[in-house]
Amino acid sequence: MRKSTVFAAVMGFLALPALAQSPAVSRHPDGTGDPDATTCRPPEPLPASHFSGPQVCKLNSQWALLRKNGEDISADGKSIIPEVKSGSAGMHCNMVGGGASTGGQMVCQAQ
Amino acid sequence: MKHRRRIFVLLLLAAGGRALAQDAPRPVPTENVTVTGIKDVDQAVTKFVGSMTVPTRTADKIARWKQGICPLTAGLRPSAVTFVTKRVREIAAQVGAPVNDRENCKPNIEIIFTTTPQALLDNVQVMYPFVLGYHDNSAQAAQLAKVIWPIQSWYSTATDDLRGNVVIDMARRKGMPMSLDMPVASASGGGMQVMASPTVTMNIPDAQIVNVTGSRLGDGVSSDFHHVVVVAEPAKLLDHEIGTLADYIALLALAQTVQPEQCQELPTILNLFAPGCTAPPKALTNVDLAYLRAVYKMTATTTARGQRGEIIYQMDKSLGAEK
Repeated sequence: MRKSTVFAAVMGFLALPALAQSPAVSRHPDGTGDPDATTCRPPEPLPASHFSGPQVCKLNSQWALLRKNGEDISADGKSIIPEVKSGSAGMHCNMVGGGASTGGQMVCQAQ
Repeated sequence: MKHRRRIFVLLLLAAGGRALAQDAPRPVPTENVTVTGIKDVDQAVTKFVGSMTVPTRTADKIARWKQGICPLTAGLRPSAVTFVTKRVREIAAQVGAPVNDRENCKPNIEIIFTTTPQALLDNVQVMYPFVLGYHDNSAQAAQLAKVIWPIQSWYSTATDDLRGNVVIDMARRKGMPMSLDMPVASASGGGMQVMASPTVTMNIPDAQIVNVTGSRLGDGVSSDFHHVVVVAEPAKLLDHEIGTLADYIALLALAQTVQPEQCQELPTILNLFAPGCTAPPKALTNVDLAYLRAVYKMTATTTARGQRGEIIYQMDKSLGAEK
């Protein structure tokens, strides 16, 4: 019993630096805080897809630069896109229906 | 003819990257400027090399291309794109820099003409910060990403060790933490004496293994270019011909060079944007070519000081400086 408590304490101590280094997570990183610290945005739904993109991790200085320029990272994490303003934030749009010759309908849902 | 060419440049620059239907301009011949009127050419060359060359921060060596260059130009009409790319390749071959002759080679020199250079660099800072060159933190990255010149270059370098291991120069290298226990040295009687104990522990959070010779003349480590980006802002280049711009770009792309903030005594195309230069050369001069040839002749693995010495020696020889 005592042995396992010591083991747990040691493991807890070893895990501390790892916890300290794990990046912060935010749905809308605004670049505040330590400019050299990393903040990750959780995966976002890819446009016209049922799948989500990757988690996007950037330095706070990089998020701040994006916000200053009114920009954001796309859901696939590959490019810079204009920032979606608060009015339409949290909307997830999908193309529904449609076939080879007929167009589908865009359906948006608040998240 | 000159007027016509000026109009051509105006048009293609004003177009901001839109393709224009005109013939490709003729290449500007290299200016054969004789270095006369300078009292001490050797001193002027030493000053030029001292102020223009930049050793890398990781290996403290002057970087140059080891892999064949593959320039890619964007933001101009197709014939101008071809002209600039061809001119950079020609100059590289002329000065002894390696050139990748494959048609679909992977570009390692990107020459971008854009009307919004700062926005481009902001995007680079977010998506490809390694392109800015070595930096330790975001403040240094922001400083590097500032667009100051009408044509400006950014150098991503790599360190090549004795055994040919190549590592891109970055602050966050994903190395491994290492602790070294070293005996404490103390000064005693005019000499250093190593005490048996105690020891001091040196923690290296991001250790990298680099194979070196251990020689003081050269450690076997060299610096290579990994990727070079040259960004040009057309609106600020209206007074210059495309040939002049291509030559200036070639010099920046082939050697990591400090863009001078004052007019250089030696005739160099680098004077093109230097304040206070009344009649800067309109093409690469024999000083520029001597400099580039010397960079590609120097010993890659010797110290930066030794490399500068070799460049000065080679330039003096080409320019006929009296020793």
